[in-house]
Amino acid sequence: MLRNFLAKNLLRSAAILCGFLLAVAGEGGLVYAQTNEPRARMILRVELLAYSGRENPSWQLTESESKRFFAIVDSLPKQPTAPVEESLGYSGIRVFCSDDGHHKSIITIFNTIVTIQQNKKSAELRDHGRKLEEWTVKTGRTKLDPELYRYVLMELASGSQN
Amino acid sequence: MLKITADIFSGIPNPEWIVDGDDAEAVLRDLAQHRSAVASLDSGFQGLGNRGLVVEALSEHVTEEHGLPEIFRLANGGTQMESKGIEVAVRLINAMLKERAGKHPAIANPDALTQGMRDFLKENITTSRTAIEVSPPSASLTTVNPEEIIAQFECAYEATWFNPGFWNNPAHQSKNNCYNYATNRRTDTFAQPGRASGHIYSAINCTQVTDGAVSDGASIHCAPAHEAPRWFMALVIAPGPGFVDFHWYRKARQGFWGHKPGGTAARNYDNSGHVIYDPRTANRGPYTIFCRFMYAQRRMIVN
Repeated sequence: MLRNFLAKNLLRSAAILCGFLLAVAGEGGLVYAQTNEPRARMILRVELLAYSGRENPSWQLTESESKRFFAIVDSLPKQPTAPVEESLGYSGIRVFCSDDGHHKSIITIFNTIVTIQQNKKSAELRDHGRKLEEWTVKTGRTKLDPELYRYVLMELASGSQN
Repeated sequence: MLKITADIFSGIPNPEWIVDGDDAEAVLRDLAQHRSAVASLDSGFQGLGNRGLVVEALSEHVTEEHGLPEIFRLANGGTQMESKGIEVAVRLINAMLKERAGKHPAIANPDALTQGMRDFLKENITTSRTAIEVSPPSASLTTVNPEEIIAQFECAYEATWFNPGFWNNPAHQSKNNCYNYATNRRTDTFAQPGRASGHIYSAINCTQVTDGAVSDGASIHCAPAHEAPRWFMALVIAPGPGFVDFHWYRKARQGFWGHKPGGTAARNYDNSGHVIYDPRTANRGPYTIFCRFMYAQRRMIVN
């Protein structure tokens, strides 16, 4: 019984800890808001921002990939900046975090800038060396057309590495 | 092209249909001169029962050339000129049995467009509850020549003023791509060349994508005047390796070109941030092959 009680409360604590820490730009500067949505329940769908005429390819992260994704996001420093505008050609990736079919937040990652949008608010983080972007693209290795996958990795390698 | 919704039911889907061509133009010209018959979406009767017709423009030039809202209501008791609204609404209802009324991707249930439904709607619309007839407007809008012919290259064509707001509305932006923008047809279906006509491209190259667009009703030759509005488009291809796609531009009345990369915002500048005056020389990123100029004719349907 004690073991069940401990397990239940540990799970609850973990869920709260996994609540989505979101840096939101408020009037007085950056503040942190925490949602009550446990990450464990979230489904993360990645869209490769690439095409104009065709539909963009997309895939879903596994549970372990989702955990890793959030861990990297949590480690990124804040960087208030204007969002990067998409252009023709590869323009980064967008991760839709949803629960019960409803988008809770959208994370756009391109060229060292990570933009998090949630509840009509947004915040920017810095992706030094485009590590989060590259890691997320690589989760699509077996889901993307191999030539497109190679193309995007080449774009990443030739782009800014600040 | 107009999408009409009879906003009348509560439990079952409201009937919807398309009114295009001369019927749509005549209605828009009429309403442009009788603005008091046009109600905003949230005005008038909003309860159970007949809430009038909702009229939605599916092309951006409709609002630009006629000075009407992108979406509005008719004949729901929300205007000072209700009898005019009812008269126009009856004309729109009569058009619901035309052959093309249900043949559009935006129409969810074309089977609902029956003679019985038409008669039911006409009866309800003409017994509107709160009609208040006031004198006609003293200063109606001046009728503007709807199409300014711009002769360039070898063919005559039409152009709208650059209007990115029509496409960058959050409700529509991600659902429309470069083909929607270039053909000026906001279908919310991320349209593909040839899909509406059953001849979608089987490979992405200039020939296949051009053929798909032509089968939808585009022309690679000069289009006759009766096919106006004839939007001037340009097709380019990203040939790969790795990155293979197509992209379209449309010329604006200001002389530059607009485009909408996929689900992103419509714009008039290229990858270098320069306003596009010639898509052949613009920075197009991986879309390195310029295929051709084309015309989206009046009869063109995309999906």
